[in-house]
Amino acid sequence: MIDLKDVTKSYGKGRPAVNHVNLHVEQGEFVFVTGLSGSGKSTLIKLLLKELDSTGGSITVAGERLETMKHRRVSKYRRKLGVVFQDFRLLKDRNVYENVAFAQRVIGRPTRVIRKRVPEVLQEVGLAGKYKSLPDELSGGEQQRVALARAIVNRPDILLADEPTGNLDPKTSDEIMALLEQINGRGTTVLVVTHNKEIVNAMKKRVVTMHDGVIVSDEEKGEYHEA
Amino acid sequence: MRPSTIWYILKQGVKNIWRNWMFSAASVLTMAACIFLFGLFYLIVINVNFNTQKAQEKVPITVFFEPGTTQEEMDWVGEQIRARPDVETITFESADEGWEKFAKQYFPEGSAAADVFRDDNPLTGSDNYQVSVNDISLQYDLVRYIEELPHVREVKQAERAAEFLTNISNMVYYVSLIVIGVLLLISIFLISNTVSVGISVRSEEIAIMKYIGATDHFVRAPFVLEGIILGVVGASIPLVSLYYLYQEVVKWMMNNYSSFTGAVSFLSVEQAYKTFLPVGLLLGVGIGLLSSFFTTKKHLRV
Ligand SMILES: Nc1ncnc2c1ncn2[C@@H]1O[C@H](COP(=O)(O)OP(=O)(O)OP(=O)(O)O)[C@@H](O)[C@H]1O
Ligand SMILES: [Mg+2]
Repeated sequence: MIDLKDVTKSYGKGRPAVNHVNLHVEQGEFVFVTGLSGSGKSTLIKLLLKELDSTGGSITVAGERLETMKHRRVSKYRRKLGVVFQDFRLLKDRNVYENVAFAQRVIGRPTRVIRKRVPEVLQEVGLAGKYKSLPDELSGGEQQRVALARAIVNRPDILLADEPTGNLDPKTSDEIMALLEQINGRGTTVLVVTHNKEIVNAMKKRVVTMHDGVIVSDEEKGEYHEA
Repeated sequence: MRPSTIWYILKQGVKNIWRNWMFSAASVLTMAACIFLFGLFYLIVINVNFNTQKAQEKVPITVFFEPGTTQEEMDWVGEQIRARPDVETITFESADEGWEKFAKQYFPEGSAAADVFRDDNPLTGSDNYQVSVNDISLQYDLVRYIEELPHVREVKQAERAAEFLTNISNMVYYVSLIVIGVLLLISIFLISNTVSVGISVRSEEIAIMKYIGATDHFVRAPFVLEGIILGVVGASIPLVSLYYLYQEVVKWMMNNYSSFTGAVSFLSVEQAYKTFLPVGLLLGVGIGLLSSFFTTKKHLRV
């Protein structure tokens, strides 16, 4: 599902942020990516989103080659991905329902479909009672649930999460992780960047550790490594 | 595109305008001023043109002959011209008739000049045909045709009055081109500014749309629409106000300068708006569309 071959990304002079990385993720896998601050995790996510272009190597995601992809094709490609961030990135002037529906409007789904699908997803992330709330009226955990609902409402093949629990307390973090696992259980490939040692150690998933742009370890049912 | 998508884009476009209404108002007002001035010049130009054309229609083409052309040869040329479908009327004027007419117009009966030239017509050799066309736009072709005929020395078209009017019309035309050009640049600049402020205010939303997989067109459409709406509103203000102003001015001119207006006639407001309405609207929409199109193109590439 995700295949990186000898991928390098440098922002300018100096050491590349991602340095000759090889990574292969099968369909339906759940992968943690960990590492110190500045080790290149977010850069990796941005490469996968084709927000950035790699400066070397080749990336294939969901059957699509990213280096050669035309600009016109990028929007279609991104519809195969869902993404959540540490800071939720919700639209502050729109309520929960509209924030999720937005993701469907953007790709031109008919209203009839939106009306059916949005409540379904909100139910799935446990927000069935909060359609009308504005983001500011929600707790961090609830906001991240909305972001998750928005990320999966179009049924992506892959869910990318860049420190989704970075702003949340331990209990809420566990709940969000449980949701991610649940989404993964329905066949979506999930890649989670995190610093959360307890969660990584508790969940017994594949763990990829980065350091200075290089993958230094990659273990099935792995543990969190400090370096 | 789905109706729901179109509806969404419409709503967003209108929202953009409200969200930074001060910039929107500034662009609309500049645009309005621009098109108002344009309209002013435009209405003057089309009226001057209208009068020029009328003057030209009254002035026939005059055909002069080479010295020594016989009456028979002139008759033959006359027949050739008469046979043309674009000729409305053709009359022959001999040199004597021409002189009589001229003298009557410029020298009072019995004046010295009239006596001096009585038996020595200064217009000798100016036998001519006066030809009028039924379509002024075909005049040029006809003149070319007549010039090629044998014995023809010269073909004269417009008279000085028409030339004068044409000169004025040209002057008004060029001055207005410059003024309008400057105002156009200001409107384009302001609309482009308004749209880019809108884009920066919504940069977060745009980033999210991009992540979700919105096409460039979808992201840009509300902003382009915003530009078009600003253009249409900006054009409507002068279009409506000039509609009333024009009628008032014409009425006022008729009342206060009746001697002048006897020689000049005005287009009715309906006639004037037949072209001014589409031109004005097109200008507004065009400015709005182009400036927002290129602004979004510049700012929205992720
Ligand atoms: N836009 C940019 N321009 C220049 N350098 C950048 C840019 N973004 C990131 N970098 C550099 O690339 C390296 C990797 O950054 P990246 O954001 O991928 O790290 P990270 O692993 O996500 O860190 P964190 O855990 O703090 O989020 C860092 O050295 C950073 O300074
Ligand atoms: Mg990061």
